[in-house]
Amino acid sequence: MATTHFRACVLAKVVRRTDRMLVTMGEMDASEAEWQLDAGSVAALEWARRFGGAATEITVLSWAPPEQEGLLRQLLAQGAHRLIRITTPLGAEEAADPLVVADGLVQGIRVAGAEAVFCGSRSSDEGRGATGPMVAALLGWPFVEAEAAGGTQTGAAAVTGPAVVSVDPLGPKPGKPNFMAVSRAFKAPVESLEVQVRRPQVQYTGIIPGTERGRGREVLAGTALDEALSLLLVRLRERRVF
Amino acid sequence: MDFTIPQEYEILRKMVHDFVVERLDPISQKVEEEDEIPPEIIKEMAELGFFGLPFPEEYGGGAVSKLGYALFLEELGASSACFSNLIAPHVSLATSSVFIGGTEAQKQKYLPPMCAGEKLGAFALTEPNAGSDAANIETRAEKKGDKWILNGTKNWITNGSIADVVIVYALTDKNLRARGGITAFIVEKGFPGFRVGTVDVKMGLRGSHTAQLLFENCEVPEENVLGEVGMGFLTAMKVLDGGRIGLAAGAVGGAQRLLELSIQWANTRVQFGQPIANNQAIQWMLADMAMEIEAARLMTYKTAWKYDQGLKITRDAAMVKAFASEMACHVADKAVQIHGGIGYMREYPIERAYRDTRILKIYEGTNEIQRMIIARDLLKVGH
Ligand SMILES: Cc1cc2nc3c(=O)[nH]c(=O)nc-3n(C[C@H](O)[C@H](O)[C@H](O)COP(=O)(O)OP(=O)(O)OC[C@H]3O[C@@H](n4cnc5c(N)ncnc54)[C@H](O)[C@@H]3O)c2cc1C
Repeated sequence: MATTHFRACVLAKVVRRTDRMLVTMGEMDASEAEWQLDAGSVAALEWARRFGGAATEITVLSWAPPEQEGLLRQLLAQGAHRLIRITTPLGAEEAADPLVVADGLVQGIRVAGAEAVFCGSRSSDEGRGATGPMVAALLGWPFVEAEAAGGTQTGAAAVTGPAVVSVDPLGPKPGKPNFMAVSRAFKAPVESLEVQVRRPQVQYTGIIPGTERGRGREVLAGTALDEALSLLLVRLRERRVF
Repeated sequence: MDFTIPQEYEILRKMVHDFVVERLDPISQKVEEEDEIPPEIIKEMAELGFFGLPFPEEYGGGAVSKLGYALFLEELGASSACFSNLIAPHVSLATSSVFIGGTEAQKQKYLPPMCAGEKLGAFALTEPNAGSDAANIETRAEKKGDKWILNGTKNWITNGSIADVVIVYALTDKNLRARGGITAFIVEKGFPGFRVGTVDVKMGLRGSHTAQLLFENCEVPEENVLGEVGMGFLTAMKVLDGGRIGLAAGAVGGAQRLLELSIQWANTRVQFGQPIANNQAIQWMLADMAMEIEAARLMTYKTAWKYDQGLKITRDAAMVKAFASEMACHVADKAVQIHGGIGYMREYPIERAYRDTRILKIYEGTNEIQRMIIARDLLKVGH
């Protein structure tokens, strides 16, 4: 590999395939649906790959359980270099809290020594899109919502310093890996990082569905840290996320 | 006993499945009509790694086990047989000959371009007077100075007309024959005295080319003796053992596709005011197809697993080759029957599959020869 001069993290999530869910008594039944990599995570990898070029070392961070490690390894086959699974002694319910999720990821980002973080703007399961902004807030980095326009990186290109970049799940994806890459990815080591996370203190009063948030706007790019954080909080309050 | 398919192979399987559905199925009819696989499709297959799956990474391979390779061919077999008939002889027979019988230098030289699909391989054993009786080959190789001179004719060599590298089995000692008298040579396209003869017109497998290869004082450098002089027959037999697993896997994949098409047709074709699937006669055909496919699939996986454990598989490979190829022919016949007239029409893939399936009982050792191998082993071992 060429000399690394840029480190990036991709936040990866594994979700149930919504197009295959059963509807039982009017309710979506996800229990039998297959797991897959969230489209936003795959798009985030492509952004990370393009962003720093060949010299970028990309670490995938995920809370996915060991059973879904195989899916995460696909990101290794598609160009990521390192895979860290975050674990916690907390119970599953507490660990699913967005603040806990963000906190654990931030610890992973520090271990990876990343200078930029890429994540999907919203996942296909719940679509809250809370992780990116929270990670940015906890890191004290600007949060950038970016969208690929005609295959170019409009939003991310504006980011110079450390940032959390949330990307459009419908944006460009890495090409299909070949068998050799898959085979190598399955032989690569997967690190696991047990994190101590704060227990969730936040009460949620309401959540705006991802579809209502709109896409493609650069919300906070280039703003100073303090300004960015307060802006972020204002935005989150406006949207009644907190 | 754990029947779980490793996740890595599930992913490979899905990749092949997607490729079959998105890229191969849509062009199958065109390939049938034009008798040619488009070069861009071959390039895509090469990029995905189809040409080097079971070989170690250091030679540019995918380092996939025999089980992984069988799963790959099972998925690929679901499409038109010409595609697996391009890949399997290249991988299972030609490239495997280099891997199993070659020296380290030969592996370093030939495996990377063969695994990358840059050089296509063919395996040339059969001759006009030596089919089932492979040890009876007449192609001769004589040492002249630092070269070997090959003379003879090889028949019905898959990929022969388009191959860059042909593994040619020739007689180096008439008295020894199978016991050290047959040597394999790596012959490259362009070696003086090597040319392609007639390209055969076949019952099926359109898009896959089978040709006669002629060696007329063909000059082969000393370093192109595959492994050691006299080891050719042993290499060929080992290669064919492994190849039979691949053939069976393709048969399973093809039969599974025919079963699925038959189920769809049985559910949609209405006669006497109801789908034909409501008739027990049709249901039993479907059930028989499913039973045979499943048995062949399990035999294939088990033989592949034994191969991966380094266990002897000669009898298992012969059994699965014969069983799976006969299963595929039964299934193809029932698929035509369930489809009725439309199953006989060129416009529908059932007719093509029926023709393509028939070869499975003949090449890589006829099923009579497989039964000979099985019986010989049974009588030797006693169980
Ligand atoms: C489309 C196609 C592709 C091929 N590709 C290749 C290739 O890539 N490389 C290669 O080397 N060869 C290839 N072959 C050749 C193939 O492997 C032979 O056709 C096969 O081994 C049978 O040999 P044969 O055709 O000479 O039949 P024969 O040996 O003449 O057999 C005729 C019949 O007699 C039976 N028979 C023969 N001996 C016995 C016995 N002792 N006991 C009972 N029954 C017996 C056979 O089972 C068969 O039913 C290909 C053939 C075809 C048709």
